[in-house]
Amino acid sequence: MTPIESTLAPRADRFEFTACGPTAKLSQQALRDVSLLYMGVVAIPLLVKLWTRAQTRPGLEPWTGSLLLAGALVAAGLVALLFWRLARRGDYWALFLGGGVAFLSFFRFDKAPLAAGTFLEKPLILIPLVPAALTIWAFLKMVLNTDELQRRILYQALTVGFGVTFAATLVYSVLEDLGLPHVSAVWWWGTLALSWVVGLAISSRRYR
Amino acid sequence: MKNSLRVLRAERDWSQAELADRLGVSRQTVNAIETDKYDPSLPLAFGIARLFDRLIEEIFDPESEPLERRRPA
Repeated sequence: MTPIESTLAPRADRFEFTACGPTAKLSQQALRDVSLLYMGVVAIPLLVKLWTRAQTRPGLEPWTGSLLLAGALVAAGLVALLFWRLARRGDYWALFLGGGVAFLSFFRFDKAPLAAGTFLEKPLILIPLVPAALTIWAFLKMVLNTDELQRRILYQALTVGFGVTFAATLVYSVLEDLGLPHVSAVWWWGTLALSWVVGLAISSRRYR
Repeated sequence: MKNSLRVLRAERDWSQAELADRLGVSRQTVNAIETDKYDPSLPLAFGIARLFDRLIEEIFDPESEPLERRRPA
């Protein structure tokens, strides 16, 4: 069974913007790769953290630190390999999920640098940018692979998302001047994501 | 715009998912066209006409009111 028109989006059936957000089916292979990827991105900060502690403990064997760092590098290599495999297969939904998971795993919500006081401190702060860039790229690919109705739903939802966030940030900035507590910029990202999902729910409902 | 997509699909005993696969669109799009909630683009309308071996105007009724101008009763 092949699509009859080359102008129509291929594999559009694999990805939909629904009331529950963007959804698609994960193949067994993709599920396995994303699970391995998750294990890899959990292992990297853990090993780096242990390596950082090993640097401040003079009693430990010198090879312990090297071993932990080598383990972190192997995990990073595995994660890179899995990302490459997903990209090569064109499994953008799995790549989007994997990139999101990796970004959240590396991002330090507690604001404490991962390898504080070592030469890896600054490079590791920039590490979340790599999975973030992959997530954005995968999302763009997904949008390009969706059909015309899905794109319409997405644009309507994004309009709702940006509109609500714009209004909310403006109103809250005035309220802050009137004495309400200061809110971190991370919450505005959350507002955008939430209002976008609400926009998806409203927009996709129109065409059900 | 009214259309006879559901009838044509039923004649061939295809499910919405099967038709969506043949057209290279999502099942939701096929459902939205069949229920007159969405008017397809020209390339998609041509794709549908070619798939069913009909003219576009035999499937889509140009005399019916456009979706954008329709008002609830």
